[in-house]
Amino acid sequence: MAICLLIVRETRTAEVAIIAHPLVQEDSLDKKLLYNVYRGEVRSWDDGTKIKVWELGERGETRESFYDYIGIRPSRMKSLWMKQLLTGEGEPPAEAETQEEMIKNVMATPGSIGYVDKKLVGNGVKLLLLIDNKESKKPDK
Amino acid sequence: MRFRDLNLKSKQLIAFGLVLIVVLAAGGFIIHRMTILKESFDEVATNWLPRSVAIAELSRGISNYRTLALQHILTPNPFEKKSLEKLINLQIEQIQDYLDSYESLRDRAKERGLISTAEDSLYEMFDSDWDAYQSVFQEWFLLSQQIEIEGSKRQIPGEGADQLIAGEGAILHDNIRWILEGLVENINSDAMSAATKAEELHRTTRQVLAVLLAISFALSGIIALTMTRLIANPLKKLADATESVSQGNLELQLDVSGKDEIGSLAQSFDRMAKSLREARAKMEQQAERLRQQNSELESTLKQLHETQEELLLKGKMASLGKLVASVAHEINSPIGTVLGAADVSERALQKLKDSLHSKLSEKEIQSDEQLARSLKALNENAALTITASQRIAAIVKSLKSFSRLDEAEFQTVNIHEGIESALVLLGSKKLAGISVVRQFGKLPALGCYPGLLNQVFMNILSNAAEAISEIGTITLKTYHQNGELIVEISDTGVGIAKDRLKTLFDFGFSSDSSRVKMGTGLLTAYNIVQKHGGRIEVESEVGQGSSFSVILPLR
Repeated sequence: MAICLLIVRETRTAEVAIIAHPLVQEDSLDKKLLYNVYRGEVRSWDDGTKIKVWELGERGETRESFYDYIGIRPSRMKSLWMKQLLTGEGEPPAEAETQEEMIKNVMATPGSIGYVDKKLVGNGVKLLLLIDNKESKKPDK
Repeated sequence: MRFRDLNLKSKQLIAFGLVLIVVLAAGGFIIHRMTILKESFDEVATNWLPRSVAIAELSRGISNYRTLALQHILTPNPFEKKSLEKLINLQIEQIQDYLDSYESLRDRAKERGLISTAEDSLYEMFDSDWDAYQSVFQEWFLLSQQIEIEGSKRQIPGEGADQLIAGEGAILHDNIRWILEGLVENINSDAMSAATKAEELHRTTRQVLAVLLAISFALSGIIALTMTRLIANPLKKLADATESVSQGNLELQLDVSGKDEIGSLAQSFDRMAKSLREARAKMEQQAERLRQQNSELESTLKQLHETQEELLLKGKMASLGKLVASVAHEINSPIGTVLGAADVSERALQKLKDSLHSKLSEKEIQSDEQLARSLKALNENAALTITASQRIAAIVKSLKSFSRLDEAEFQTVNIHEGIESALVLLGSKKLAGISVVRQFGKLPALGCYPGLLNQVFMNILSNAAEAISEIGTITLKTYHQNGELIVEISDTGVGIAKDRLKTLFDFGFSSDSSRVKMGTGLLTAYNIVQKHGGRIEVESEVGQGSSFSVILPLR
């Protein structure tokens, strides 16, 4: 945990790619939509296909950059998912343990959406959004 | 420009300006400090404490969360389970609220730089664990409800949901509790140190304030003293000096230097005093001149008075002389007649006597008493008439010669004549009991104003006669020596006192008899003699007599 803490404190220069299943009709999406999708507010694509949301289990720069971008802490997101679970409104995203698994899952499952390091993006997935987190967070006093 | 030379307004402005600056500085300093203190205390009240409370409540909320989950596990009743799920939901919301509350307070504090690194780190640590904790709960719930999320891989194969809560959950929960406690402690200790700092600030503020007050008191005191010295003292000096001048002392000099109003006032004062001194000196000079003039005028006035008296008397004398001359002239003819008649009578009488004697004998004449008496009476009366007439004639002659006063002709005369005529004019009454002794020397004729000289002799002789009370002698001695003619008139009268001798020739009439005195006193006698270039000398002895010597130069 202490190590995680250190990682959190360092500069985030990861470039995160929001990827989707190739058959997903959307070509791009904005931050707000991305957030609502992951929150569980938006459950299907424009064409009616159910959105399959994938969460990255691996703790790292990619994950942090993603949550930084959509403007919520992972823990908070978890609370939102828990509430949905408890009220029966919806279910939380499935978890891909690693980034490689994330790519495999997104490629395999129609309607999928996930996030990985840009470097790992290949032909099998559709790139919806590129997050460029060039800002470096200064350590707090 | 030195401070001394500024004008009063500037001096005062500077002085009070200084005080004002110090007071303002003190005030500003206090306000500033107070503001800081207030902020500090506000901080503690509105941020530190609420933050601490938020964390404490967060901790409690998370524990509740766990308790509810355990209850959910323990109860077999599905309805209870359902209601517990609702409660858990609410609890999660509450936890969200606490987190929001804390984070907003923290953000505000972060703006002021009041969040420590430790607090930040602790919170991040908490957040990380809280994230994991919620993953566990999510897992537990999914398992307990046998919900399967497609694609999800379970971390803990084969273990029951309860184990998650009891095992990993318990560990995470304890961690979280520990972190949060640490966070609370951290916040509290930060708050404490902030409060302590504020108190320290307060203490030092009080000290500094006391010092500033002392300084401003001292400064005010110094300034007051200095102003007194610079303004009040010179003014007092000036006031005293002015008072001194009003009392008449003009010798003061202030010698106050400095170019401010007081200095220039003092300098004006000095100039004024100097002018006054000079004016006074001038006035004294003028007063002295006036005094001199005055005394000159007085003596002139005196002289004028004397001259006026002289002229008056001369006038009187002139008219008197004229009167006398005309009276004498008038008397002369009847007197001539009388003398002639008396003479004829005497001769006729003689003829009668002769004829009688031829006819009768002496015896027969003597035996007729009436005849004898008549003859005797006739004889005596004739003689008396003649004598009296002669006397009148002599008096008239003297009067005439005396009335030559107004003529004041310069003549060469024998002064014995004047002396004799003076004696005649004095009269037998005055000279009664007095024997006149003449010791006349051989004198040359004197060129003089006989009328005037006669006055002199008259005056002196009159005085001599007066001085003799019953019987006495007046001695007239005349002689000449060393080109001077001397007439000594001595008497055996009462004499003149020594101190009276000094004022003898001063102006004054003596009016102790009914007879008008011829002559105006010894003053005129003196003046007349002086006119002749001579002098009068007096010797006198009280009880013995006096001796007046008229000394005249022979030209």
